[in-house]
Amino acid sequence: MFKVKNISVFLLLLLISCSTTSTKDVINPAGLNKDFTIERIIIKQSTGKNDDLYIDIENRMLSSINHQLSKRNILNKSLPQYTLHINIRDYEEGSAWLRWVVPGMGETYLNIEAILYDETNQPVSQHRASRSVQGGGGYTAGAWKRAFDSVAIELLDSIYQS
Amino acid sequence: MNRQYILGAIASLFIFSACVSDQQVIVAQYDDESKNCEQLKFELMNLGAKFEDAKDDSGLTGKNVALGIFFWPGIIVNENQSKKNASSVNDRIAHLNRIYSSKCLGNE
Repeated sequence: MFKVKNISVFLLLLLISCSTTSTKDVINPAGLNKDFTIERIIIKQSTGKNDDLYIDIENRMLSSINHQLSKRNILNKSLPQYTLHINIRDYEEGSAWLRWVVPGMGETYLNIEAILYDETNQPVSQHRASRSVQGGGGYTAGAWKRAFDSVAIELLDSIYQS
Repeated sequence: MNRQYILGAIASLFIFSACVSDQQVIVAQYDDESKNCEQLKFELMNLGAKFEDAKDDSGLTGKNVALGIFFWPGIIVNENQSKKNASSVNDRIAHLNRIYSSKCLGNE
């Protein structure tokens, strides 16, 4: 009984502490429903924290997206080639130690907005995806790296989900 | 034992319902630049109300009081989320204001 209770509380805290969310606004359903490949990815950031960042978040985002695209095997050159514009709105590296001391503090957070353009440069869909890790202990160390991968997965799921 | 489970489930449900949800808006939309002055004005007015709503989720609210009783770190999580919600609305207002200023001011 004691174990079951502990596990439930742990799972509840885990559920509350990490979340990935996304929103999608379809502009041209026909463009989104046909097969396509994302050929160009343009990433910029407007976090306003250029000097405070230890890593190149634009490059990190790009490699996560490219990794996910190659994993999904959708880099087919014969398909219409779309362009994905990504704007990194917010990024907080956070701290696993702080999260362990006070859940809610030391949050790791990544929030992006993206617009998908078709081969004629017309917008097809618009997306927002974010990942936040608000609680947890040592096992959440390095959450900032995984945040980029989680957001890339969430964004591509949102794009390719018809 | 069943009673304990029921109480646990109710408490969990309570904690979840006491959380401020993610209501962030997309700051820069694809068609912002093509909106006319009336559309921009209308959206700015709506965003003003939305900003007030987002701000209302912060501070001494019913949700935070409930979390204070059951799970106090949830207050920090709620405050962070409502700050993000308000900040995204604020950024969108600034973004639309910039377009409105360059497009509409001086033409009225």
